[in-house]
Amino acid sequence: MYEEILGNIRTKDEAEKLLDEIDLLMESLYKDHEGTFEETLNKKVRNWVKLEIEKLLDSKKDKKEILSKLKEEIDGLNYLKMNMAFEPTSAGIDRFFGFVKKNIGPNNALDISYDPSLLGGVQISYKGEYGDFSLRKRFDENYSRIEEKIDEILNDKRRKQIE
Amino acid sequence: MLKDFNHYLDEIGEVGYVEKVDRSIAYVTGLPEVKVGEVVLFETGEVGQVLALSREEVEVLLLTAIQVKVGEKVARTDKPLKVPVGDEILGKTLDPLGRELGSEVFVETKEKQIIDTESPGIAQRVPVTEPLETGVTLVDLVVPIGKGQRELVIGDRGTGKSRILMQMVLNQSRKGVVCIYAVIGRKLSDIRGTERFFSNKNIKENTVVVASRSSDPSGLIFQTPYTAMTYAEYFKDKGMDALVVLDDLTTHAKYYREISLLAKRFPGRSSYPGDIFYTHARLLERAGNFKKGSITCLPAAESIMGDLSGYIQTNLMAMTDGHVFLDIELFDQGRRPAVNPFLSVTRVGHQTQTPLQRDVSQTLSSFLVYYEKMKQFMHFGAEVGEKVKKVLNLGADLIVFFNQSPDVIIPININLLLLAGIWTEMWKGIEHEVMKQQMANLVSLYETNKDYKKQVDEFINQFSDFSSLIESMRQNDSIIRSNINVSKG
Repeated sequence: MYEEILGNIRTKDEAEKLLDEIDLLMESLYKDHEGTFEETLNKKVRNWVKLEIEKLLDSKKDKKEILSKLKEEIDGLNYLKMNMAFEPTSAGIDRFFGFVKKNIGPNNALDISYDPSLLGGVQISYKGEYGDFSLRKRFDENYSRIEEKIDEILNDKRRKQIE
Repeated sequence: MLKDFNHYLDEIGEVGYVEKVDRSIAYVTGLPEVKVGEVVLFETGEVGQVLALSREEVEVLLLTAIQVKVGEKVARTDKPLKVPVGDEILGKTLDPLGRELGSEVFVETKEKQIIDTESPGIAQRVPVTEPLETGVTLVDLVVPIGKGQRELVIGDRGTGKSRILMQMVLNQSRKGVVCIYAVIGRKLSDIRGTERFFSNKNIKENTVVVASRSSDPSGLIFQTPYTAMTYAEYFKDKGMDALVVLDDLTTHAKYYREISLLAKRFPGRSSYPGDIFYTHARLLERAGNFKKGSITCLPAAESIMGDLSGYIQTNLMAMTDGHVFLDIELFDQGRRPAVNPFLSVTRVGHQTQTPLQRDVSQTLSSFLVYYEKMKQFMHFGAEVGEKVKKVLNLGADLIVFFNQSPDVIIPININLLLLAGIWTEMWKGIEHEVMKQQMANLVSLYETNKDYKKQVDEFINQFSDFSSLIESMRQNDSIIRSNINVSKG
């Protein structure tokens, strides 16, 4: 019943935005003159949300019950946390989300955070499992080797200059 | 001792996120394989220990003071809580994690030992047979303690519990026993006072102070007695005798109650959790007399208005082998130490005594009961006969004899000799102040003059019952009389 609407949630930020819209709708349920449910649905929520909610309300069930259940479903989403060195574009998020949907399954979304100190790559955690695939980690691991190499190059240059 | 946060994150590959913090408890999501009792590390360097697990959350007890924030990363260490152990800890004042008090530096040792261990089984234990001399006359003569015994020291606030415990530590550490003194959730000035006492008495090299301040996190304070017992176990495993003082377990119980209530455990009697008995019993069971060495444990407990029937107090009485009760009424009467010989109990101490000591103990106990009855009888204004007068005088002399300054320790044999002197009315008609001074002279002579010590020891060791000692003293009391005014040999 809620698969379609949940399938549109790509990130945690989007989930939070949707929850705010549902809250607005739930508040409007008890308003009679200004800010009625219909008015809120038409003016204050995004169009795709409006269409999806209208579809849900077709089942003639209690509006409050449907919206509460939807909130519960959104709260129950699992997030793949991605700490990245850059802010991905919407197309990039689409690609990551497609990967998650294909490889992990439905009811999952992304929780993307930005940390430039990672230099590149990504730190991923999902249901407590953690993996650091950042450039910073690679750099830290190989720091002594890189340092030696740099020293070697510099020494070579100095030697050549003296000669 | 712990490595960097990122090291554990990479090594174990599991991460958790702080969802909620409730004073000393943090609720963490993630960490799928974490175990109860495991140490976890927070992103900002704080240390915690897993208290409980639920399907959604991990309950973590915080062991460091800095505030943990919601959203912070948490890494597993896959290790239980351990402290550094080794001879290097002697003479130091450490916190329950094994760092020097007030610093972040761990003591450098080769070994580390788990804090929370199972107590050894019966196969590793042997009966308590050796006495543990406390140097406190009244305790040594009436409520003797054996090596490996667990003896509760209980009394109201300010009745001298810590003083008597330090006195016992002083005597034992001078005899080469390693003493571990746990100060649980106290003021820093109290901790420094304990430290100062040990260094002033030159016994620091044989003692370890494990201390937590009242300002420390509850989780850290809770660990204090377990760390102290771990240190004692280290020395016991080396075949040595250790004495561990836990000052005090009622405070410990209060901190455990705080933790349990915060963790929403169901409150029981006086709001203590249901497992408070288990919490203390699994600690005290780790003490005892073993094939390899011994751990004598002296936990302290605070009573309120002399009431011994409190929940924690009765629990502790049930799991120890007796108790020394410091009575506020006796304290107010000026008795030092304010040990109440009638309400104090020793369950295994008597079996470690020599036949003479045992006989003295029994005679003294029954005499003191008789003396108290006589004193009560006198309240009715009855006329005093010769016999009653004698009992009252002897009783008064004994009270003076038992009065002892906290920094004075008196060896058992000179105690027996002085007692025999009192019993034979050697100080009859002499002022109590003079008597006390002459006794102090004899103790000093015994401690400094090897010949006199040998003479006293040989004299005392030839008797197996108190009446023959008294008889012999009546015939010849020169061992006291000829040295009564000699202050030093």
